[in-house]
Amino acid sequence: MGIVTRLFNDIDGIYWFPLISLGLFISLFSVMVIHTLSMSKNRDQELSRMPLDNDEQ
Amino acid sequence: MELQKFYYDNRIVKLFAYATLFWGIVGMLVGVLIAIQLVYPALNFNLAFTTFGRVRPVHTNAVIFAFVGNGIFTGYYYSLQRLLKTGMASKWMSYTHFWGWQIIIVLAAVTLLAGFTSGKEYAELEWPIDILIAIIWVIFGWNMMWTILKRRVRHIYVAIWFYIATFVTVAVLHIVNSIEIPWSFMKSYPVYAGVQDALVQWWYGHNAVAFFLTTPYLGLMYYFMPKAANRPIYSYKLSIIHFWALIFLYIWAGPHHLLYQSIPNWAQSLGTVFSIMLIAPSWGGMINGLLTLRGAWDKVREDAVLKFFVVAITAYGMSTFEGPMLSLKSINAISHFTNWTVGHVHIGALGWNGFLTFGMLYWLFPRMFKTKLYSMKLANLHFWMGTLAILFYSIPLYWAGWTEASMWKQFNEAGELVYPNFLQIVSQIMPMYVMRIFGGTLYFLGALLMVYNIAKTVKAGSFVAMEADEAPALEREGGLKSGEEIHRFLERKPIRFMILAIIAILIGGIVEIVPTYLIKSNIPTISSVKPYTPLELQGRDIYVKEGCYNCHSQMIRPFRSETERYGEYSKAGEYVYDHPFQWGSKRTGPDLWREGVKTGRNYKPDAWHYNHFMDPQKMNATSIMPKYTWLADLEIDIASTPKKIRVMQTLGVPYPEGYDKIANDDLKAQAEKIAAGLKLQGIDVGSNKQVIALIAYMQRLGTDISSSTENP
Repeated sequence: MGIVTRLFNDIDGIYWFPLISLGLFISLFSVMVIHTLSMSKNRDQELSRMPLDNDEQ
Repeated sequence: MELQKFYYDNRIVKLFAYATLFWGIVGMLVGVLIAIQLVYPALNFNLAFTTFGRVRPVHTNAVIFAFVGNGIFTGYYYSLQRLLKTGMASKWMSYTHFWGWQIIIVLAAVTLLAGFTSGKEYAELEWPIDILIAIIWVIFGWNMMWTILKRRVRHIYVAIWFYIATFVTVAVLHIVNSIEIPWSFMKSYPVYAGVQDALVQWWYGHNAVAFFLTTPYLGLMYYFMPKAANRPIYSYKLSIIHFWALIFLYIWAGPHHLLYQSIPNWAQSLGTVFSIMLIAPSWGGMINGLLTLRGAWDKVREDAVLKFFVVAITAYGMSTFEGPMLSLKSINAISHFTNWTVGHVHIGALGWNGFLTFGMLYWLFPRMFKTKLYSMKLANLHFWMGTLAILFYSIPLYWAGWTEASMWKQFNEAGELVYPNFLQIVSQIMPMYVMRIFGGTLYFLGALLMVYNIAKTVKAGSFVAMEADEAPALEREGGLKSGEEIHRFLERKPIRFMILAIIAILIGGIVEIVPTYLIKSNIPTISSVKPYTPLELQGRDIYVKEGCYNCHSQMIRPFRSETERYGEYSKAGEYVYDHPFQWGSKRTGPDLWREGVKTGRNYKPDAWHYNHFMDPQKMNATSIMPKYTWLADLEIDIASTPKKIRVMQTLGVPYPEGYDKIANDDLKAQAEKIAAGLKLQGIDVGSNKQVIALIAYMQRLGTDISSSTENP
């Protein structure tokens, strides 16, 4: 794959693309997990029953 | 608060459900036919519109967009109205969506069989149909968002988040991947070429799996699983985390379809890393689905619907584990281009999509027709037939994949390929192809059983077209209230939710697509790579039309086993004039990229190609390639040459100014030379026949760099 690596070395800062994307994901994901875990449990249970609300099975 | 009376439109649900059943049967039947064609090539019937290359896209499109597509809309119209406690916002839009989608499917089947194809897998439809798809998709999405806005329930349930993400992402994928310039009423060239086209296409192709076969089905799972089990979903918090992680991550993983191929290393690494990360949110969905059954597992013993759901979700978990594993470069080096990938895809299609659809339909029909399912025993029988069918289908294909990879790569002590003849390997996997036919047929018969069971249920029941319900009107609420969590706020603000979903999917798309534009100026010029001659261009269009990419790749990976078998490995700069790229994804037959290199192992003279197209079995008794006799009867459409040249010039292909006016002179001269050469070999064929153009294209393949120097 040497040739392919050489071809794309010419793009300025190309190696930052995967690093920026990983960093973006990890920070967003961490914020999301902390936020979600701190949410009200009672409301959570209430919302998880939504499909069963208008049940006439 | 005063209750408002309203009606759920079951008629639109019923129409989509019938369409799901009908197209499911058609798609599976076509699948069985092409599986048989791989064993008995005579069943290509020597007719253009029944050959494997044209029929296989009909199978994939019928199953994905007709069967699964109608299945999505069935569940979506049923669940959306009930989760929001309102009827659909626009009846006109609902029915335009239904009939528009069915017209698209019929047009797709007719045009694909007629040979009108863009040559890009899962996006084969030509530009007028692409425009129609975009219009119908917007109508569907508009109606959905309007219905959400007029809801009587404050919070938008998780299933609807997945519907919203599906709508916006499919729109983006479809539009970006379908940018093409027409050169006739039914034909066009994509604006992307070679490496760019491959990256955009697999960004689309992978995310068609993600946002057509996965996210809408997760939405259906989040509604129908709790309904069938009569249990709330296991964890709403888990659904929040896995939803955002899934839609954010999925969009990056496309390049894992192009590992070891002529795309940048950074893109390959990105595809691999994000594919591995995808296991977490995918399994978040699987765990949430399966654990919804906690305390209700005893019901699975009796209830066929739950059985289908459990196997569907398990199949989802299996394929979303296997997918990332196949994205590891060392595993991909073995699996890619083999039947292993086909087996993997069918665990998802038959298990996840098929079984979830079957379970949903068995649950829906008795409720819409206010009756019981005609026979739970038959439904259970269908379940076991389907489950065994998946095993009979996939195990032989995994076996075939490992066999192919092993034989392709085996060297003897002298350092030579043990199986230099590709057909030796094809013959070796024939028993697996036969077992696959059995598995596919069993699955098809199970589906027929379901149609019978549902038909009897419908006959016994009484359909409720408009189902009444009551709920208080939704009070208007302002912005974020004090103490309100941000995600709870978002769950009642659909437009903001949609915008955030668009941002989440666009980040990955932009990071992958933008560099492909940068590539254009950075791609090294290979001085000897020249545009195709007019005859070769016509031949290439015939190659695309006949769907040769369904069985042959044009991409030699940098492995010794491939360079020994096919010749010099492929370079990105060789494909700069390929609109569309034709790298392929499966080697039912050998790679063709160095087919024209005269000093290569695979070079064959024009006469060999002619005889091979006319009767492949005469050249190689064990060949499974169809005959292409009509290519010697049909004439090259030379009237289209100037238009094609002009479109290519618009796309940046450096034909000289005014070349469109004289292109046919060059075409005729080259064609006459080939025809004269064939005549010397005792083959009398007119120089104006399509087979001449295809031979010219075959002899051009991979020849550009044989005497070149690269100028980085």
